[in-house]
Amino acid sequence: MSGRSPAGPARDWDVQVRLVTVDASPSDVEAARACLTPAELAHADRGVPPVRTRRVLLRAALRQLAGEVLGLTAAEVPLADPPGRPALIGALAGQDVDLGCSASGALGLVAVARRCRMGVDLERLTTAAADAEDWLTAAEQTALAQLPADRWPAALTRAWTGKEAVLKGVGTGLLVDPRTVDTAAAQAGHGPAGDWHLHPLDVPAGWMASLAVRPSGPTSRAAEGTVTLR
Amino acid sequence: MSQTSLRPASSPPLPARPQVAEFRDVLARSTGRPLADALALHADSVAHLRDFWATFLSWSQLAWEGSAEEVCTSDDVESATFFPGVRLNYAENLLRPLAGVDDDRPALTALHADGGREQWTRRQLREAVADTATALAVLGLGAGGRAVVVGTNNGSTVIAALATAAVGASISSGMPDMGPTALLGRFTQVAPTVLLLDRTAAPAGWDGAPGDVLDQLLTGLPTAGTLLVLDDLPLPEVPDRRVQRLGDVLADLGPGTPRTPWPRLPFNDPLFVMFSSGTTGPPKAMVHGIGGTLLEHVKEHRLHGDLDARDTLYFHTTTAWMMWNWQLSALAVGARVVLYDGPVTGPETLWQLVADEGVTVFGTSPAQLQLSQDLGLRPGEEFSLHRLRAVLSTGSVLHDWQFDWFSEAVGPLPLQSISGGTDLVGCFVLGHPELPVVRGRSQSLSLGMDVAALDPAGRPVLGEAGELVCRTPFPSRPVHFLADPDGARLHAAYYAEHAGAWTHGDVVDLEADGTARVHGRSDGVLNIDGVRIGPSEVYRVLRTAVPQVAQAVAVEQRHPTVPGATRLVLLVQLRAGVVLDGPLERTIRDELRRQASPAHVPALVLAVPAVPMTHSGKVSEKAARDTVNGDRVANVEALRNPGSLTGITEAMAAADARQVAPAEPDHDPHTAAVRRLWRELGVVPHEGIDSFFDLGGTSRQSMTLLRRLRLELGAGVPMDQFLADPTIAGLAAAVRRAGADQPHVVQLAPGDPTAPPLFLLHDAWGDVDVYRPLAQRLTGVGPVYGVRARLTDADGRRRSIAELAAAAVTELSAVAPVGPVHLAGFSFGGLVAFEAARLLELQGRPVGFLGLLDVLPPRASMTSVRRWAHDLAGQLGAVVPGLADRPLREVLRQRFRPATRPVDRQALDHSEVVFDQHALQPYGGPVTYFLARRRIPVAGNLLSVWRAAAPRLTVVPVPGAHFDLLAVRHVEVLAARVSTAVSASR
Ligand SMILES: CC(C)(COP(=O)(O)OP(=O)(O)OC[C@H]1O[C@@H](n2cnc3c(N)ncnc32)[C@H](O)[C@@H]1OP(=O)(O)O)[C@@H](O)C(=O)NCCC(=O)NCCS
Repeated sequence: MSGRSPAGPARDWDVQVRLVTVDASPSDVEAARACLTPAELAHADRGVPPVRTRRVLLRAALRQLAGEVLGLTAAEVPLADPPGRPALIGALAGQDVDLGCSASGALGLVAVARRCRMGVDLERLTTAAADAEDWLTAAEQTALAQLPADRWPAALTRAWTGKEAVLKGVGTGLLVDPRTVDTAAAQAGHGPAGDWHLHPLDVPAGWMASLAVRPSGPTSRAAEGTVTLR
Repeated sequence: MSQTSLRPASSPPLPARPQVAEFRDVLARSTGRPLADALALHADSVAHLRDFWATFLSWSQLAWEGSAEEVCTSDDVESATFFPGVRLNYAENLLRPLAGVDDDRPALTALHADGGREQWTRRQLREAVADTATALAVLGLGAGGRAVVVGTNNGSTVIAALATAAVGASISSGMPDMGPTALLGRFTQVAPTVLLLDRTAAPAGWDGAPGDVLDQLLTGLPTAGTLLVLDDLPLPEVPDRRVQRLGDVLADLGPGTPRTPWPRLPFNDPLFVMFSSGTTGPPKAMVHGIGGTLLEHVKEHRLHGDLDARDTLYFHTTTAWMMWNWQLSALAVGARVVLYDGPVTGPETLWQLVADEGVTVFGTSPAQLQLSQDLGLRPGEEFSLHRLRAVLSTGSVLHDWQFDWFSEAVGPLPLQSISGGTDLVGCFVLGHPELPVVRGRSQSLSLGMDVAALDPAGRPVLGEAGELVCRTPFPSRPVHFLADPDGARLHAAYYAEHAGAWTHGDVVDLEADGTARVHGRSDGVLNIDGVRIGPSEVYRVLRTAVPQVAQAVAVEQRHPTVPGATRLVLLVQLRAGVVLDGPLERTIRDELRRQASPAHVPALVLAVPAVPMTHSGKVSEKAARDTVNGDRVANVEALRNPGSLTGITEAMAAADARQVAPAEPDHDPHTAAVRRLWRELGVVPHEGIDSFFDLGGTSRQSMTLLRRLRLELGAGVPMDQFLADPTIAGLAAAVRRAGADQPHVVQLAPGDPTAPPLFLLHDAWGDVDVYRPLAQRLTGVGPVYGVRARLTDADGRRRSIAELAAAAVTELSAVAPVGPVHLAGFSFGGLVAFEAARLLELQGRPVGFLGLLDVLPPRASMTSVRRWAHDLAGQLGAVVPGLADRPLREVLRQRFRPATRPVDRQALDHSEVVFDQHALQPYGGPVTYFLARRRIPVAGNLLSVWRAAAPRLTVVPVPGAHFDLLAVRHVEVLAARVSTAVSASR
């Protein structure tokens, strides 16, 4: 996977990313439910069946990956109750480990980061005309309109995932207007967006995903770190 | 980019007649059928398609050998093969010396980001291609071979592609910034032996370092034994492949090496492998034949574009889009092709390029034109476009107002909206040099193609939108798909939907005058929750991985519990003795997920006794879909096993255990409106769940939802309010609160309280901000009010002018219950004002003053002759119905409209329909018409339409054109004249 300097100094941030399918069969869902807390199950079960399945599988996958990074079982990972930004609580809260997840259609993505604050967003490609969206900044709109038309679906989806990744990294989600995040400086999904740095994630054709990173330590720089797909 | 024009200033005189007229004469002479005009030619070309294509092949004087005796082997759109006895070479036809064309004139110009400019004459280009072709032959590429090229839209990429075609191999192209997944999604199926690479304008990641893009690409393309590098950057280090630089291979060849001959190959041998732009799953790999591609392109360039050796073509494209291949073929008519691989920094970039290079035909997109319009560009004045003679636009719908802006700001040139697809490397609708440009429409159907719009019952319709089909075979159909040995994917992609026709997957409306408007993709391709799915993918996976399934049909079903949404239903006919149990269903789902994509996993798998088949033994997806949806199945006689439908219905009924009670009707209009918008997004409360997000709504959809509330209900609900209570009831309450904040009548200027109030009626968005500069400058008038409106009903229906006028009368009567009133309005608002004055007159309310600020009469009130004049004037470009023009929208957007209220162009389209549908009724009161000065005579004649309806009409000229009447630079004078007229009326 991408990442500027895989052999960078130990202080650089790193993010582990995993792709999962979130429309699995009932037995998988049952197994996944077993590692969730009652609050998580209640949050999941508020949804209609496909939402239920998605929330259960996404949360279980997040627990699984976080557990692997922290040396815990999935069920042991201490997470704040949903809804809201996923976060470690208790003794692990100060460990500079950040969590994120996203799902779209049948695909989900979970991420665990060290030494940085992080947001991820996954979105199915949609076909739309470049002029149909009002969440783009003027710079983004301009950039999009200049592209040959075959580029629009990917560019539009890329812009959206970049914005959402930043806003989920910040933790506000859409409570902050997506137009406050300008992704126009990023090239092919790679580049700065305010004090965040965007990285494209390699996901199956038909989807796009972005990772936004803001390093927590002064010694590590936004563009330098490792993204590992596992 | 170069700043100086290298083109001679003087252009050769235009031909007396376009090439298509000459061709029409030739065809008429050879067939003995009179062909009076363009429409007659099109009709004849589809009625006698063999005559058309045979005559075109000979008239076009392409280089070929063999026999053209057999033109087309069948009338069947699916199985027909064109010119089986013809052999030709694509590159030869593009590059050979042409009679009357100077071989030493530029043929290809490549412009780069750093201002660099490379140019090849026809002779030089031919030699460069011949050298590269020889190098490729030395590396082992020859007829029937397969190569792929990764590079930007520059000369090296073009020469590499043409050289590949020259040796008789097939070529696929892609952009270096597409990323390994997308590139492999395309090229894996090709299994190329040679990868051609140009990295000059590529992002990082092409050095061959472990894990970089090149490394991933080569790993995924094990057959690509040779990497031929076209650029001068350090050679990549890649193991186990032959890596060579083209320059080195050429140097090694030496001058004495004989050039590899360019073989002429069968008409239907592969030329381009193109890929569907489907948004999910592995793309379809369409193999386009040499002859079909060439013939179609030359037909489009010469007959529809009237392109010849005097032309210079620039089409804004990447190498990954079919327009790249399409523009290359312009070399075959002797035109010069311009390429550009640099960034586009603003809308000026492309216009500057067009000016600098003396481009005569410029291909762009609706978005680029819109951006030019939005930023107030006037390309016709700001750039030297004197050589430009046509602009083509494709990629999405070109809106009506863009034609207006174009003729106003670019010039009196044809703006040709063309549309087709990768599937035919060409177009179904195009321009036409003999036909007028009709605002909002494509001029002509593609010659030789019997394009029709079908209604849901499969009947051809005119004047309404339908499914775009082509009912005659045409040469540029894909000859086959890769990874489709039995042709099942090809069949499913185009020929399964409507028997005897190619179903393209677009929605189009056609008129009897041969014009067309493509509205976008239809659901011919399965569209599950907005994701397009090729059903052929499903079949391919099942055929190879699930042998228990004998036949399958995947259909899109209207979601039974979530109105507006759709889901994928898979009907399987199992082999004898097999039952659909849990493990088998799981295998089906897992294989589809693994081998296609998660989007290909059906929501419902049903075992049926048989799938519906036509008499010719093809699965009828349409019959299956209609049955699954409970719709009437048209044309049951076409089925070999009509009983299969009963089996499907029974299986559906058995599966339909879960049902949801229908929603109770809403009496509150806000709730009804919100519910409707939710439903249109596919989010419907059920199972006692009512939160948008718990129902599966996403954040992106919530943006759309709030945007539509703003545009359709005028209710600006902030996101935090929605998130605080994301239910229908909560949102309806928020809409109510937002609506309560916005009175319908707003005071725009205090005025003289003793004088009758002046009401200014809302614009095409229902808004009045546009009047503020005017209102502030009026003198000697009463209080000035703006009357806003909601343009739609709660159910989304657009209100008519009469309804809007009635609502306005109610609103203004609440403010001014008695006494005389004054009314005025610009454009859309003027029409509402006129109708409101009429209603007030009927009520006995005195209307002392009625001002129409340059209001064109609605089309419905014109006689056909006037309509014609109006449309003609529209083409000439001086008349704008004024609903959607740049400066007005700028005024709105930049001066008054908060950034949170973007202008929705769709809303404008609707307003325009409402406007034109209104029929003027007579009004006896005095009317002052403020006539914009800048307009052409024919438009002035339209005043007679107004006079007929309002005999007491006084005309006052005002400065400016229709669209900038209210702009600051003209508003002083307008305000003075309106003030005078109001005073005079008292
Ligand atoms: C959270 C939000 C960003 C989700 O966006 P989306 O594209 O629809 O969904 P995604 O799949 O990408 O992400 C969903 C996940 O992000 C996480 N998430 C939730 N809130 C988050 C926040 N504020 N910041 C970062 N991540 C968040 C959750 O784990 C959630 O998973 P869940 O749906 O299983 O609970 C969006 O809904 C939002 O902006 N919400 C605003 C926050 C809020 O007030 N929500 C109120 C409802 S609880």
